[in-house]
Amino acid sequence: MAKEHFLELNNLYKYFDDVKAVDNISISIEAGELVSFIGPSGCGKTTLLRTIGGFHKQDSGEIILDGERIDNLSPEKRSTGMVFQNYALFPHMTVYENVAYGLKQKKIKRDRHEHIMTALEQVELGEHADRKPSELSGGQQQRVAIARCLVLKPKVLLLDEPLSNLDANLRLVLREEIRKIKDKLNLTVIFVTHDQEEAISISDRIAVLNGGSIQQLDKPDVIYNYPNNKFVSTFVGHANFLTGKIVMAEGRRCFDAGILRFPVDDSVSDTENEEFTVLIRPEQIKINEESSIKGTLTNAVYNGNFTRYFIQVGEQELMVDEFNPRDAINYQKGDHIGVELPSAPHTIHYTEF
Amino acid sequence: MESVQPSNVQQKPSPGTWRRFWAEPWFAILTIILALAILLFIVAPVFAVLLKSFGLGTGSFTFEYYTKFFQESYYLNALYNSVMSSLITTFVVVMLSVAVSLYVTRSNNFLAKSYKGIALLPLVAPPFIFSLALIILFGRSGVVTNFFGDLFGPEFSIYGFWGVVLAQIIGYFPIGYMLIESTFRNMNANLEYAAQDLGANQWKTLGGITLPLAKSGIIKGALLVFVMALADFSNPLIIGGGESFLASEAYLLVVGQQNLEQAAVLGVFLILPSLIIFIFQTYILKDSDIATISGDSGIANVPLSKPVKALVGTISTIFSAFVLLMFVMVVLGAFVKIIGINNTFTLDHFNNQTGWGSLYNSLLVSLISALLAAGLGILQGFLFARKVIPGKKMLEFLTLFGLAVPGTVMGIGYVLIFNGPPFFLTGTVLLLVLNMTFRKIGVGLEAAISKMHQIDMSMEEASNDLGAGPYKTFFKVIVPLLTPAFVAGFVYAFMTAMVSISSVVFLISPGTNLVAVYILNLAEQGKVGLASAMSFIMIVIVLMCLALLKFIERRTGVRI
Repeated sequence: MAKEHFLELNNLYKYFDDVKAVDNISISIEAGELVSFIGPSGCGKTTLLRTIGGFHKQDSGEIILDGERIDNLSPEKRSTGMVFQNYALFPHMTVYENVAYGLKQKKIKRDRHEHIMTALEQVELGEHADRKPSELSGGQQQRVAIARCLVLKPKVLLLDEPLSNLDANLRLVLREEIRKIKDKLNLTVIFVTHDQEEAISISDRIAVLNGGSIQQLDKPDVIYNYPNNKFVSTFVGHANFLTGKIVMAEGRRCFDAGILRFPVDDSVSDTENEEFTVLIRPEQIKINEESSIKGTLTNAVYNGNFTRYFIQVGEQELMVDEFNPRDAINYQKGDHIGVELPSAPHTIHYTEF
Repeated sequence: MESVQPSNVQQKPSPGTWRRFWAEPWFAILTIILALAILLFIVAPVFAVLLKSFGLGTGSFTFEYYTKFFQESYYLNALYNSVMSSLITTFVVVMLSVAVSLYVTRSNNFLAKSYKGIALLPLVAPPFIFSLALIILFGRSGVVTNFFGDLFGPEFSIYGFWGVVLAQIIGYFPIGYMLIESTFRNMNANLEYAAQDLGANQWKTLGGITLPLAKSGIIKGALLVFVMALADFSNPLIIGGGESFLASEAYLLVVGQQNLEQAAVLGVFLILPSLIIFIFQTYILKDSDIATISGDSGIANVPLSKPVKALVGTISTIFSAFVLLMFVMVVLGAFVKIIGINNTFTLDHFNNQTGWGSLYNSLLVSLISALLAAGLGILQGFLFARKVIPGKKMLEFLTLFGLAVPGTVMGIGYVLIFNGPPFFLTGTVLLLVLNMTFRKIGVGLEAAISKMHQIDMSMEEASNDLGAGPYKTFFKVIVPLLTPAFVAGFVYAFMTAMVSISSVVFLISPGTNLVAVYILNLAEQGKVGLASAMSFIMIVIVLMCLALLKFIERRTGVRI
């Protein structure tokens, strides 16, 4: 199973009139991997997914699935299974008939009933087989849509924003469940979402798309900590950007951004006197009364498990997240607060502007 | 008639309902006036026909006229012809509509767009214009008949049952097409993509997914076409060649023999199917509307595969060409001396004093009644959507039923009620206006109801919250929001009023002739040139109104 490059997209292009919806995309996906496509609306993620499924014909490029070129096949001839955003369950058929539909089309008669029931059991909907889709909750409909694909044992499962129509708590539960089903059946899955948090929590790897091209393709923690460019760093998580240069102060290498100056590791840049920008995540900054860097609290937003402080240091406004704020000191707007900036190399990254 | 007073309709009007009804007295008074008008101008005429068929009104209760109906093969033949022609028309229209809808909604080219335009063209013409065109083409001295004289043989005649069917198919096609096309257009394309993803080819997707999902739209279209064709009055008169049909027979009984009782019996057989179908649509079909539950506008419809496209494309092309040919024939007929015989250009047919006079009458009557129908319908739609009204369901049912009542029945009913005391309105323009207004008020009501569903209640609540009372809210918030619905309702009512004929034909007098009736008489007398010329002018006027509407739409940016 651990075959390399199970699904390969090579130099895919897809235009809609003059708009480049998919602009030279190449990806290799391994068997059993869950890869998310994320990006803002119009970034081309859904177009890319639908091109893999065969609903759009690429203008050039190739798609190879399990050693077979599929980019010229019509959807019904590809062994891909698509879960649509609104599930696209056939409203005039029962759950059972919906799941049976694909088997009928492929003329799979042997053990048909067993296949259907197994697929329904896998998504824990065995006892709802006789219901109509309209009699099910959103989450159940979603699982029927998955079962309808699973029963055909697709080589790759394509999920198009499958959770976007569900309420917040259900999304959390269902994304765990999708991950569980995927692990149990060792499925290869492509998951399209605009929710970066969802992508981070569910994926083996994430492809961040913008303007029809891949900005970065990597593991979730790498995407978060080492974003390639400003777009990725702002689309995934929140970010402070500081621009400055390396200077020597009190015998230590420091990053100097005007009023802000803090010591950094050796890994941070080696070209002196060149200005560059670093990214610091809000939770990487600590509030520390001892620190020599002082700022004025302009706003504090309580978020339950953390509080986000906005601290003005000179020209720069810093976002700072403090977790578990239950016994934190209650700062007031206008307070002067000291902040401690991180020095560890993995917390800081070059960004292109 | 007394049994349908609004107070008796609501089973148990709780005291709260009435109190809330009177809480806004002006709206309450308006509602009562509307309700009384609906009872007088829609319900009473139908009941009058029913009573008359049993000899009531002037004589005593009798089954005589029903017995006669079942004994005379002439009347039974009318029933058979009407039902059979309607069934065939419905079947063919549905088949054609599905093919053309598939082609138009799944192809994004110039041809598809023109086919849609051509398919809807019959809407702007009087319902009998295709009989006229068929006579020009295939009549005894028709263009085609003359040219291929030997090919058809001496027995061939376009006059008769099949001529009526052919004219009905073209004339009622837009009705079925509009409903079926919108069902195909609003379908969630992902359902079809999902079927393909699961391994179905296009034929299987069509048969297993697309058509079953469009079922309710197709049934609705079919029922509507059936009702319209059954009530068809003018085509049998022009091209029926002596074959009797229910509506035309009823008309001849009234004008020819003054036999209102026997005409009323035929009217009852006209209205029963309409009533049954209307009830079926209102109460049964409403719940089975599945195609729209997951409408997804974001995704383009699934393109057709080559064989499917070839098939539906061919059907669409042939049909559109045929419809276009019909119109071309009428236009040619208007501008040449005697089409097929003397093809010299002439404007003589337009030099027709009586014709222009009846055109003026038609414009006046249609304009006033369309304004009234749209205005009152919209007002009623608002009141019904937002206010507590005792017996609301029944009133809404009765208003919309006005649309389903065959014009012939309504016309006879109007003669029965308004011919004598206390009204004496027959032959007046006022009666024509009233007749058309209440035949079309359902159009405005439907437009308003669907629009009101889109207007969030919170809009009015916000207005109330900001200090506007119910009347101020109505004028400042509701009226502007309903304007597009009003315009749409007005245009549709105006178009249909211009070409409507089956009801007003009973109510006109020499001084108040309407152009549609006038053309019908010309066509009956075989005056093809004059009939074509007036038809041409009517079509141009209706098309100009539509163009004006498009222009307003573009200038104001309001989608109508």
